[in-house]
Amino acid sequence: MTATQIQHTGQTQPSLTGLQNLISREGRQWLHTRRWWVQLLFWFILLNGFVMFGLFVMPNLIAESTAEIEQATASGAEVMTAEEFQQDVPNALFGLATLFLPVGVIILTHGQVYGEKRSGVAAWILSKPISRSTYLLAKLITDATGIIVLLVILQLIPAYLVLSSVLIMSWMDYLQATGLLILLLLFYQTFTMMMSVVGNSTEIILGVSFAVLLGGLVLKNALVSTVGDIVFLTPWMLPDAITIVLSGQALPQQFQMTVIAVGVLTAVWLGIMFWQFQNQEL
Amino acid sequence: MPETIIRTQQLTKSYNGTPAVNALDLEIPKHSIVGFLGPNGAGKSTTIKLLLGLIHPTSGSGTIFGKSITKESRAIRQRVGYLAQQPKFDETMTARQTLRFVANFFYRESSDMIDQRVNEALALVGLSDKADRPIKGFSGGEIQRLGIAQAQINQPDLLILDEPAASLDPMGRRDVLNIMEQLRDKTTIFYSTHILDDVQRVSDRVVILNQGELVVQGPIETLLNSGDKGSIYHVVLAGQVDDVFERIIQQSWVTDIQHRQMNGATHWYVSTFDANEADTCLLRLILEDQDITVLEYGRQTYELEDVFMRMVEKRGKQ
Repeated sequence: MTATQIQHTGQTQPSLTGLQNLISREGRQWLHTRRWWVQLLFWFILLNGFVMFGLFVMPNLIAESTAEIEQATASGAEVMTAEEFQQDVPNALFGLATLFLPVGVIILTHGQVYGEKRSGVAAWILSKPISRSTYLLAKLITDATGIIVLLVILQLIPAYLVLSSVLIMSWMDYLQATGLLILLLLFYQTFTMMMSVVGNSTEIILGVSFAVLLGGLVLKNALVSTVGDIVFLTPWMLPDAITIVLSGQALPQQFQMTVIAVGVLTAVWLGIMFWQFQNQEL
Repeated sequence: MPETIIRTQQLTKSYNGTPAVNALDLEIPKHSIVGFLGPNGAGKSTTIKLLLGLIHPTSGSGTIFGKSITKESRAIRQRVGYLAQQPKFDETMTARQTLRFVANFFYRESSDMIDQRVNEALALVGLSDKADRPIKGFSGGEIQRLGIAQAQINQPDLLILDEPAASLDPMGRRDVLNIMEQLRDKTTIFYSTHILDDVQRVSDRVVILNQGELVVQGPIETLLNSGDKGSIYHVVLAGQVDDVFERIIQQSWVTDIQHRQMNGATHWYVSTFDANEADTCLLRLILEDQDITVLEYGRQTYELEDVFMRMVEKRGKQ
């Protein structure tokens, strides 16, 4: 048998050679497995299910409870009407998204590098003529695309269509809130992937990532009273910024700093991730 | 003098101050099949990973194709094929997809050409009939064969195989050795192994490593003929041997003669520090005696296992 003689890509290659090939491989892990439709379906049921429930089911339940509401009103208690409840659904939707979507992002990305380092797949791929930066970049690009498309765009477009059929909504405010939500998710994606590069056990990677997500949300109010405005330089204030944007108000300066700080922190995690991975033993 | 493909100078890798590879000076010539031997923990896999740039040396340097293993690793990997000790692939992919994925790192040719190359690689390792099955269902031997296929998909100038026949049954081992034989003329093969019979069967050269240090390297024939005791000649004689024994033991180049009787013949094991002199004179001296019949004559060869054990044990005692 005569071996097919085909031309090598050459020896002086740009540093991103192989990126497209690696992105195809990462994309296969999203599209040729159950991952894409499981993610799509799960978040659709959670987020759009909540919107449908808030817009169409809950007002009926409130209307059916007129007697109890009148009684409560007579006793001086504040009671939300069906209309007020409907008006609050967009806020609640983003509240739900800022709490649960980062959880999904952490679970999706925690093993991306660590798992492949442990199994030997990373060493196999990096024995080919590609740079370590290209390997990481392919994962970042593919996961970010998967997260933005499946967890955000394909969830929030149907939600907007349904919401705007019932409520008067500014698409611009909704778009800005979506942008901030994407920024928040990219923060947790890069942080978790950075942990996946530097961490040496699944427990540490997940533990630290969840501690940053949940710890911040729990301690946020306490931190405002103790460390003051510094807390505005953390991602924990981004959900509040989303609420403000969604209500049509301009972002106060403190929250503008939050947006900038989250962007800077995301870049810092990227820097640490690339730097650490260059020096790691595979 | 053949071109040197791999050269290391004082290459050292330490973990917490303990050297896993210590001051290694390797020289691997082009178009050789080199068996890289050593007991468990000798530093074989560490050396291979250093050569591929997967880990970084603590000190020392090395080149492959004249390029630095630390500064020009990507250019080196363009011309190298690598099989890991326990190859792991993306289990959701088929064998064909895996080979295509690897080929795409090396070639910019048309899809048809790459497919043709993939088919050749599958045929070489006997996986054509399983090409489109997910790797998840592959046996250990099939994974190993796929590993060899992906390692040589780019027709590399250097093939580095870490324990290619480990965990294979005898048939699988034979298949792997046959594949290596087929690649002999096309590439340089540097492979680590524990299986000394395999090394003796296919290798031209041997490198022995123990506790991170180079014990010996060189052509396998030289190694097999270089016992510390010098050379030993096995001679089987019939007839009255006393006079000729006296004559030979007095030769200055003979250090010892062990003898025993077996099945009516006399077996001599003549030790000498000068194989050239023995080659020229020994048989002639014996045949001077007209009453003696020489039934067998030859220089005793060592098995690689003898050499390996002797050298590793000797280094261990030092």
